[in-house]
Amino acid sequence: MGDTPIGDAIEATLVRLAQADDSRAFDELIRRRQGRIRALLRRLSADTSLGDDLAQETFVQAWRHLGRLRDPAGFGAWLRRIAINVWLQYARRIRLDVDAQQDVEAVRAPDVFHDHRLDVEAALAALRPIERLCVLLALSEGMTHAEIVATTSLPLGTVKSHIARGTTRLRRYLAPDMEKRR
Amino acid sequence: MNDQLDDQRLVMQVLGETAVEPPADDAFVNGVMRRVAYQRTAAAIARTAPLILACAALATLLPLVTPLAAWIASAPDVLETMLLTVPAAGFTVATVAGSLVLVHVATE
Repeated sequence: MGDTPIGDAIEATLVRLAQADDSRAFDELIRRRQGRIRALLRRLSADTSLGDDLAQETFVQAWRHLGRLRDPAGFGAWLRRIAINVWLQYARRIRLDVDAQQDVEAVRAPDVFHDHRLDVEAALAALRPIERLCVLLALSEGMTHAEIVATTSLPLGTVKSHIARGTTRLRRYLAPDMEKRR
Repeated sequence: MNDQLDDQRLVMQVLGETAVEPPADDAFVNGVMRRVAYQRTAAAIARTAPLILACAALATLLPLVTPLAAWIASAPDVLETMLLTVPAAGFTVATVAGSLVLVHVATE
């Protein structure tokens, strides 16, 4: 790396340095990736501090398994997979219905909305956790159905139906706002 | 089908517009690095645990072995003395080395 400051290094270089146990490089990787990972986990958990805690756990697991990452250029996608698995492990530990495949209609509708961003967060929080996961991965993270299946180990049909149902519910919760966009 | 795709497109747009990435935060980064440091220490202890246990066992045995070696050393048979004092010296070196490893791990 020569005299290049670590902050200017490309991500693949940082990953290789971190794999060689350079903690400054890993520190920089956290700084660069923390925003996306925290945003994803905050939305998945519907809880800011829990999301941040799971994000820290994601980076700790990334550090532990960094030696297994063969393609440093794929660090972002690899890290996102770890984040999703950290959330799934947490959800299973506290027995959220992540493995349930039956439809549950008894979902609380969000209260009256006041602020657009908070409206969306409240609407997301009102989804079943597994629907929230599938909707966010497909429609916010841009993952394909096949990628979601590979990451979550859910059956393809289940993923598709959760995305469809979750979208319908979000659409219903956010109806007034979305009508204006049509 | 088209309605479903329209809904997905709209939801995607709304999610994108409202996504907020928290800015880089020293407390968050330091929290991760602290947890990494704990894991490193735990891993180092797990790696050196067998050696530490062996040294502890030797340190326990040493007070028994040393007087015995001293007693044999007073005997005229030099070879027999050597056979007992050399391992005792080895035990001492191993104990000191183990203690150094312990101190190193504890202060890492």
